[in-house]
Amino acid sequence: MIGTIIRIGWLRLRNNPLDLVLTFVVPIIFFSIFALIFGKGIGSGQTAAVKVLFVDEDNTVISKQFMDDLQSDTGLRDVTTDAAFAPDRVATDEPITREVATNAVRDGKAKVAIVVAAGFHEALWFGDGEPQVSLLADSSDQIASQLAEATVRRAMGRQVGKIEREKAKRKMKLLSEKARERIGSLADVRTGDPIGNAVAVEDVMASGKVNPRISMYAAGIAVLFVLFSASSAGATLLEEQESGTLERLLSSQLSITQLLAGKWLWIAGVGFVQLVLMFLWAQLVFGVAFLSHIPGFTIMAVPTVAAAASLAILLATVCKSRNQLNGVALIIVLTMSALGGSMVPRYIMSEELQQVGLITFNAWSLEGFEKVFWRDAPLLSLWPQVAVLAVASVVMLALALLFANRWRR
Amino acid sequence: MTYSTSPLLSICDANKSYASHPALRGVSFNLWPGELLALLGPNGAGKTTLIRAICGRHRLDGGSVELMGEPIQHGDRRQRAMLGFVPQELAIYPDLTAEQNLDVFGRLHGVVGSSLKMKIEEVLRWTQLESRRHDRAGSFSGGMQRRLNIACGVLHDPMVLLLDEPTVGVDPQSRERIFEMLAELKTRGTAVLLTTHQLDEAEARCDRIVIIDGGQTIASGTLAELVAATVGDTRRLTVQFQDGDDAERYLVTETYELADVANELPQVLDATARKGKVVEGLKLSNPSLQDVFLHLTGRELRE
Repeated sequence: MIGTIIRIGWLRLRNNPLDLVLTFVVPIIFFSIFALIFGKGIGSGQTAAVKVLFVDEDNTVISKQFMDDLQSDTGLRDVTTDAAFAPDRVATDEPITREVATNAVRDGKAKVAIVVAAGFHEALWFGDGEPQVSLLADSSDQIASQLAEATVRRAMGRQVGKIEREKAKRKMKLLSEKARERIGSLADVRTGDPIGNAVAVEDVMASGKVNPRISMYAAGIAVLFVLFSASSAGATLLEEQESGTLERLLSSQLSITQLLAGKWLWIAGVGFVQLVLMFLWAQLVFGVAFLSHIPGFTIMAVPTVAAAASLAILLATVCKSRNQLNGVALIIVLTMSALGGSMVPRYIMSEELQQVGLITFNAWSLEGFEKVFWRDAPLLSLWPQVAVLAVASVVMLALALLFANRWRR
Repeated sequence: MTYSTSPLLSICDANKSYASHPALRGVSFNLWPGELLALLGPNGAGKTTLIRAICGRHRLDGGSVELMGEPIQHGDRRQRAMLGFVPQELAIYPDLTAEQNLDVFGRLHGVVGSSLKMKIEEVLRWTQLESRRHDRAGSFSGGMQRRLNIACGVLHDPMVLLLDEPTVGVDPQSRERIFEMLAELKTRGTAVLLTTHQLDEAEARCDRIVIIDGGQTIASGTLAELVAATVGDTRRLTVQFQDGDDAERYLVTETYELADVANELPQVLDATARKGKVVEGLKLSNPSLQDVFLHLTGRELRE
């Protein structure tokens, strides 16, 4: 008897290819996605190079040597010549100032700006004060500032060592032969940390904000659940088909276009309310500055829910049954959320995976919300994200209308 | 029954194929105002395809469907307003109350405002669901759900009501109520076309019957016309008598087809008596739709 029960389970699984895929293939797909994220991203030694800008306020031979050393480090990538950053400068040979660098970090064009303060040379050579290197960081990427700090400290250690050796060499020249021999036999004794507090990280983004990172998690989770609830709402179309209600609806004064438009508006409306509630909760409980960002939030939320609703309608029109839709939606939503940054921040992914993530609208949506809540970016700067989401929404809805032809007659 | 001069619905030589499989092959009939017409046929006969074609949901490959003398146009809202459609499935929202279901389907049929309110009250009375108006449809019995299903199709007072298997899976009391409801519609002049497997329903409740099989009309008319055209005016006599010997007695049933009951019945009884048999039971019946169907198709109407 027990064997028969097991046999029933096996036969049902075998007769439903989608269930087979969900049971055995999807876990492997997800394992692979996360293996790519964590295996080729953080912790693998293959983390994407940190996008940095260099600001030399000291402008001496020593500071230049220090900068050259940093620039040769493969863990850092100088974005001075990047197309995204170039328009910020009046001329390409113009030295980058702290202000320009700060703005570039705020705009997300660089993750860290390494500023060598004036007096760096004197401090290292003459012990005249402490050498100052500031890291102007965007703490939305918690990994980048730590990597940059470690790299700067290593480079500074090398620079200090080089200067100490040079100083020692020069002093030795002034001594007698005998004194030089005696000094050479002494153990090299150093006391204290030559770098000390010389490297300081300044968060140029989060200053004055309460729980700023929460806004990004709120957006990530909200988009994930908007997708889930949208696909669930889209399933009502197939539920109506299976119950015969769709036939009745389409025999009334309602056209298929009106039906899809109504469903789309409903799903998008519910998604918008979901997003509002999520951010209101984030403001009430976690202090996220939602109410002060309502215009930006609205500009990003509308195309986000529009795209989610279009995807839901498209899936519902493509799938033959609710069972099929549930399986397909689960795979698509989880994959999009994993690659798009709803589950794991995209900055910990490799460059390649970050590029792949851009095929998901989660990535575009989260970038937009990041601009609004994290960077306080002007509303006009949201146009690329809005445009991509709007185009995706229109294309998916048009495809849905095409697939819905099967219900026309 | 007399009909007005022009039919409300006219189906002429309807043809429709799915891939290479013909679903309809020249179906023709008319539906008149105030008529209750049964479309009878086994599964796969083409009943649902025909209903969908009448609703404008299927384009025919050939032939025509005319409503009030005008060909049915796909998506024609004016024509849709004249048609009411009740699918075989319970096409209602189980998580809405009876009143909410009526409200949304009324709106979808273009009934709004005070007219909608009045219609909802009217159909709630008509379906005897007034006391359950605020209950979710999902909590209703099968018969109540069927009644609500029908009610949602008549809120806009259609001239032609199409019902696809309206009594599937309902108990006899609910079936009775449904036919009472349809009879009320008839008296208002609504033409009702229903598909069914139930021969007794078609025989007892419908004015005319159209039998289709394999996508073709194989007969149409009143029951009397169908009988006359197929099995004729004979009556079926069933005689039961005891047979056997003292050791073992058993009941025997014999049937006779009688063309002239007055003359032939005494002869049958005399013959039985002459054989020394004692008649235990006697039943004289008219030919049924079952006989007609059997005569036409050579098989029973299967589910």
